[in-house]
Amino acid sequence: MKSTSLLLCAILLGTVGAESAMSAEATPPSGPGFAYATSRALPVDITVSVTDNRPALLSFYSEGNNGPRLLESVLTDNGGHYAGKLRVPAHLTQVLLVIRTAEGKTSVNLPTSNGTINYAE
Amino acid sequence: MRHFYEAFAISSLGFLIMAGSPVMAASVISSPVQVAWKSGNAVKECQAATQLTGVTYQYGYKIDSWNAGVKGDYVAKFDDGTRNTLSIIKNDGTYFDWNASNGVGVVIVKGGTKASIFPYEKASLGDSGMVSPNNASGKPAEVSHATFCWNPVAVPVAPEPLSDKDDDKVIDSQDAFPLDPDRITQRFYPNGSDYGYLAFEDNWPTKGDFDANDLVVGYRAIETLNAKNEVTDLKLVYEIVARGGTAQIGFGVHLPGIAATRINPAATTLQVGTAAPQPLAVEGGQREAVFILSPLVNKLTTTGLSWPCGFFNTVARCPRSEPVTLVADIHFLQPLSAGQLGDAPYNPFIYRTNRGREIHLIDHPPTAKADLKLFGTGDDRSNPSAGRYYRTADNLPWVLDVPETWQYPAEWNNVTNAYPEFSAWWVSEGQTAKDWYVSNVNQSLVFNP
Repeated sequence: MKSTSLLLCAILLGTVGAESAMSAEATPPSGPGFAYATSRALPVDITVSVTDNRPALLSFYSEGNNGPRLLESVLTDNGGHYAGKLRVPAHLTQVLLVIRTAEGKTSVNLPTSNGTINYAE
Repeated sequence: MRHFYEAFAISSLGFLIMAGSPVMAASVISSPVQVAWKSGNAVKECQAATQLTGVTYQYGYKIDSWNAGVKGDYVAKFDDGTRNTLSIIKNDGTYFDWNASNGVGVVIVKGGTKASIFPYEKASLGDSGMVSPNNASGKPAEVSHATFCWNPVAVPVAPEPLSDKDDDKVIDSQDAFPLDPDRITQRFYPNGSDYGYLAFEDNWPTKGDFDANDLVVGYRAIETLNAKNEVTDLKLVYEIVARGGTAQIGFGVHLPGIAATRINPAATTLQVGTAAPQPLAVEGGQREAVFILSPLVNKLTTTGLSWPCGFFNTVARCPRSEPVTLVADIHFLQPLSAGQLGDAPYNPFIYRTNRGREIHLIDHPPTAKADLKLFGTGDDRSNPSAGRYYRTADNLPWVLDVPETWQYPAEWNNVTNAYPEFSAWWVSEGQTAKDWYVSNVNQSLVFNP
């Protein structure tokens, strides 16, 4: 166990003598700015091809143990553009985008590693 | 820089694979190999890769005339509507990195008379350090071309009729509510299939044992949106899965910034378990929307057993109890913008027998019913004037929000021991170990009935 882990255990347990004894030489605890956030809002900018000025339906999914899990569905404007934010659990590294137009459905995996979700056809 | 069909692309690959072209026979591979290679078009090269990997590929794309200047996006488009954007990120003529919008199953890097074959057991969205085989000098040959082979994530479907039954200008195939012109789509958190979890310690303003199971509630928020992406109504689905405390507690949720007068009382309901939904009113004396979902959680979660089996699903040797479901269906008189409503799970809280003793997520404000005199007592170091609530001197919380299917700690087991990565996440202030709640689980310390 790392010293930082020992410190945290000591702080949290409080009454465990052995761990408390080690806490003095360990890393300082988390700072006051940490709000234990487990989600993040990712800017989204998607442009897809549409026909007849009909919007497309964009559906974002996360991957789960039992398959894709729907996060959100939004409509593009009549030009096929959508800009907004998608709030996702912070640990997600990619989302599946399914694009539904009057002509059919396509899908694409999009990484979230750079803090944005962008796609243009 | 975008390149459209500057390199040779296969126009349609619903193809029947013919004879392969690797010069040397090989058994199925799962890691990179270098083989003698006879060049061909994308069809033939993907066919040859199939002989090595044992996987048949439906699509392929070859980037020819390779040199150190090959860089940027190559958009492979096919007649069936399938696309894949292949991005060459770094390239010095011998080594290169790539990304793809659709997972790739194998990459063939040709140089000299051989090719490096990079197979991916799970379709890969990118890789680095791609290199051609060594030539006679013992150094990597210059890349002559690269071929990418893959299968689709989803097969496009046939066009559907352009029906719009509710005449809301959104065709039925794109409308989650094809018979309701005021509702179009939905937004879920953490997702539409599984629950996130709220894990409460109930001893505020005193620190507890941090087993994070005094109350464990699964949650799923469903915001229904109109054509302007405004929220027309909000469904909050909760599942009380564990109660590892004996204190009498109530459970509620506050929608910060939403005036109580914006709630449609005639349409807002609460369903407990399988009972019929009942009207759900905003709690009296609140200026903003606050709903008490269960004033007596202990009554909902009684086991009828003696200690320690009086706890609800936190002691493995005790009989497991069925979780209790609460569904709050909240309707607004006028749609709300996403910015007005805020983020799920909004502001859930528990309170002790004393209604004023509320316990919230860190930095989430108390409701108007909270006893503000309790701040700063015990271990609490809230600073309401700075918007800082429910923190200890060490900046520890009383409530955790886990946005994923989660095994909570069993009774008396500290969450930091059950989830060793929590420490790294906490110390780094969330910069590392962002998946602490799923990445490394000490199964002996979590609740396993």
